[in-house]
Amino acid sequence: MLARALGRFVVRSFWSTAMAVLGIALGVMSVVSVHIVTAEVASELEALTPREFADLTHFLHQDDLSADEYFELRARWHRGAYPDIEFLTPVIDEPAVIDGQSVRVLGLDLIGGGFTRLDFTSGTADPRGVWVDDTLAGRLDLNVNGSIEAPDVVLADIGVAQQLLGWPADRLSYVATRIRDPIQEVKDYGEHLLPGLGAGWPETRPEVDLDDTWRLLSAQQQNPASQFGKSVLFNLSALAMLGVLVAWFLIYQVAVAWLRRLWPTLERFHLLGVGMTVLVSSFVLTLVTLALVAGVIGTYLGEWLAEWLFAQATGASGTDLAVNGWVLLKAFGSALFVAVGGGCWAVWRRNDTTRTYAWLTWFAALILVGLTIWGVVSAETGLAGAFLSIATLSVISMLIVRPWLEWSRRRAGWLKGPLLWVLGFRETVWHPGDLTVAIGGLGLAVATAIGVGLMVDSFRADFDRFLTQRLSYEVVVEGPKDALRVFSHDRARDNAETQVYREGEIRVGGVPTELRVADLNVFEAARYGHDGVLSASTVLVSEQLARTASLEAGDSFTVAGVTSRVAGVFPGFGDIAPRLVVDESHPLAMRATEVDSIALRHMDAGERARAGVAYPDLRFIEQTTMRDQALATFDQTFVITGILITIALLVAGIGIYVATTSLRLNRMASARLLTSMGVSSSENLGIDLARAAGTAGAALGIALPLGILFGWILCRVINPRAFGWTVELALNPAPVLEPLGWGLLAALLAGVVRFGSNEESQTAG
Amino acid sequence: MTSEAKAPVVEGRGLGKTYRDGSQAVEVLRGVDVEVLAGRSLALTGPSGSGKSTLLNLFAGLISADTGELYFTADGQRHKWHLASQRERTRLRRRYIGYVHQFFNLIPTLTVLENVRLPGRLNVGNRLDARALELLAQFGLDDRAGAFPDVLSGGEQQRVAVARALLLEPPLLLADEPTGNLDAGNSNQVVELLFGAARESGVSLIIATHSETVAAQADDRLDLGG
Ligand SMILES: Nc1ncnc2c1ncn2[C@@H]1O[C@H](COP(=O)(O)OP(=O)(O)O)[C@@H](O)[C@H]1O
Ligand SMILES: [Mg+2]
Repeated sequence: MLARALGRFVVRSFWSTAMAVLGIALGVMSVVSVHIVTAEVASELEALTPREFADLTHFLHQDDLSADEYFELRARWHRGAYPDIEFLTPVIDEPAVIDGQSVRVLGLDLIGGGFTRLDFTSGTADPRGVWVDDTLAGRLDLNVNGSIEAPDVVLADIGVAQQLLGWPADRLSYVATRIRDPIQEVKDYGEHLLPGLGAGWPETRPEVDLDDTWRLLSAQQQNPASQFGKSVLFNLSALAMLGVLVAWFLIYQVAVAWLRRLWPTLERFHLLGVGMTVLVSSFVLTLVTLALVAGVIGTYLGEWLAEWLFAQATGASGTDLAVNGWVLLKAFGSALFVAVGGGCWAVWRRNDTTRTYAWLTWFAALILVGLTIWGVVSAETGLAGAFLSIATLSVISMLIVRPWLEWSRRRAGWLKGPLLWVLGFRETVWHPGDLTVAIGGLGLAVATAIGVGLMVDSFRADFDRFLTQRLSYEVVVEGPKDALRVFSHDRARDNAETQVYREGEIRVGGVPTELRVADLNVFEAARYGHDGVLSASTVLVSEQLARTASLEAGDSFTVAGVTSRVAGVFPGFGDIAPRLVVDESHPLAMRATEVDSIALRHMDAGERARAGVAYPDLRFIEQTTMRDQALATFDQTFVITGILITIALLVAGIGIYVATTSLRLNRMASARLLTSMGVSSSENLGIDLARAAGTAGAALGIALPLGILFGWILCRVINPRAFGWTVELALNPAPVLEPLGWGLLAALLAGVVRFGSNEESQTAG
Repeated sequence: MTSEAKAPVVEGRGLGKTYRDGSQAVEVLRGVDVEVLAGRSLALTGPSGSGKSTLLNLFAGLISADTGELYFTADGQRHKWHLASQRERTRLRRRYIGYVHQFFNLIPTLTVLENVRLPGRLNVGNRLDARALELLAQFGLDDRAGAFPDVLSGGEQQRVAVARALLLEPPLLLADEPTGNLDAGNSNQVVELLFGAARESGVSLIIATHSETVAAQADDRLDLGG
């Protein structure tokens, strides 16, 4: 009978039920789609390094590492000097050109190292052979034993690798280790649930008592490219959670509204002898059923959205992305969490109306403020700390909504104006319990939109300036190395304004770094914001390199036996790896042998056409084209972000709708009274509008300061921690006003539109 | 003026009303004839469920009768209430009818003064704002003007409702068991105000009540019996 009563109730409030299901489904959709996309990207990132490297957590570096130094370390390890080190192996890891192919030569101790995944011991394997991926196999004149997934990597035994590089038998690149981490398993599960989470963990230095000669780098530090990618994923995953968070507010809203209407029925059952626990659990179970339905819908929508997003982001269409157990766990987990959490919380709040928790609220707010500041100020908390700050700020603003509405209610008499507007406007603050959560949800969604919008806008402005600085040549020439070499040779004879860029790879403090060599005259140096020329002993470093190697302008450092002074630090937006720029006269210049590209200060259209014919293999790219392409890529990067925010706004709009529907229950008597006083239906619509405007005002009042704070954290805290560059926060009106406009529109629509006839007049039967 | 004074403000013939809820039909009113002259008062009596409120709602034009004819005279014109459009009824009700309900008479988000001013604002702008304050003072409520209704006692709320209904000095005042929820003292006060206003300003009063003493004060009486 109870089940029937609940069932009938759900059917009767069809529209708010349907809206709730849609809202949760949208939240689930955002989580699922982002999970699928990020998991796919994460697995592509992982494939960049051979799987044999996956277990290694840290790397030990020394300049000109010799085998003797390695054996000494190993002997001490055997004697128990480093109990936390589980595994130790020497590595050769160097860039090289073999048979005209730029490759990365990876040498591992395949015989003694315990790399069981490689088919090394079987009869077909030649100890002198190598492992490469299938595309590379055909291009190398080497004895290929088998295939690996990592592109452009030549994997071999150490001895073979040394021969390929022309190195003596006692020279090594570095030592790889696996250091015990007590929470490694937790981290692994975390990574499954939230691809990219690894980038969010604060960097902890393991307690290993090494000599000063060794430099210890974590896998993240050693491999900034994958770190970079993971940071992007982490950012996206964190943003996708917003949809679920707002969905949580929504279901809580629904639970509150239903409870109010259902309570008399439940009490009747209670009087008839049904236990309160049974009643409450049936109520929560009803919500759970809805959540499951929403979960199924959300998963399907999410899978579809993921494929679409993936196609948007990568340009590859028709990719079949897998829905695995983790996705389902996350979809239904978040849906259930939302339903059970929201339902129980609503019941608890209902039964606990007498007590006030003012002191507890203030206490909690104080602690949260502390956490926020800690996350922002302390760089050691990493990306996770920065997101913690965003989360705590959101909770603080949620905590503030209700006291703020109550405060406004006490001052409601001050509001003057046309009485119908006044009465509608005041309704916003009249039932704080009904609107608090919806207002908070909308505020949060809009704040995120503002924050991200400000960040993207500021970033774009910085990026634009950066492009202006960098794109000072009229034409850039790209193409095959030999063709470039020929062109540069021909060109250098008749034009002094030709810049030839050479590129190589080098380790700075163990971190793989891109080495760029050019004629660093005044014109070229200006591209990096440097005034003057570079000498044979000065270099320019990118912001990322400055960060990873702890360098500042004026510092001196030694790399490959060459000591240089940092003449300046330049921004490297979009750089995946750290960069080092030197002049041709610098001793390190000989490390960069490959011509990468050629830039021409002047080249008119006619010349370009002729050059196009003379050098058919080369591409002559105008700087305006480069700029457009760069900006287009930039905008494409933020497509996913925009969609996630739109979803959150939609869910928040639905939240306001549901809240308004329940509010109408409160206002039924007033509406009837107004009708008996001759207030027309259009005037009633005006009252609805006024109330919706009040709701929007409250939500946007929270969103504005919160959004600006979010923007600041994103630019000044998250960007440097995640990507190694700082973005100056520019407070332009457009990225602030646009989300406010959408929020207002959502609130007004949700406050005025009604589906179904008089749903609110029906009570539980 | 004299002819108008004699003309009935409300005139109903053969009024019938049946509520239908799915397959069930409840006939609440059948063949009711009623006439209220200007400046006179009529008490509607009868047990709970006999259709008093339904009849008042018919007079207010909030619902329409299934059978019969109903005329409402205001503004020197005799309106065919049973044929008037929703819009027309809303317009006339706003200007010419004051309605006091049994409970929930005040808009909770408006102050006492704003509640009383509301009919004025809806019809003539702020010209009656001062009058609203006078009425409140007259009813001994001027010190509550800035308060919101939820802090008022039941008696105070009903007096505010009466003040509001009288602000426009409408030709027709409807009261639906206005004292139903009040104790004897408050009840007398409210009834006094209503009948006093009817006598002084020539308002026609139709009041639904259970109370014999209230009914006895009216000029006429219509018992809906059962
Ligand atoms: N909107 C409605 N729908 C269905 N039945 C109604 C409605 N309003 C009143 N009734 C029914 O009409 C009858 C008369 O109601 P009402 O006019 O309120 O009587 P009274 O005011 O004399 O108590 C009651 O049985 C009541 O249940
Ligand atoms: Mg009644």
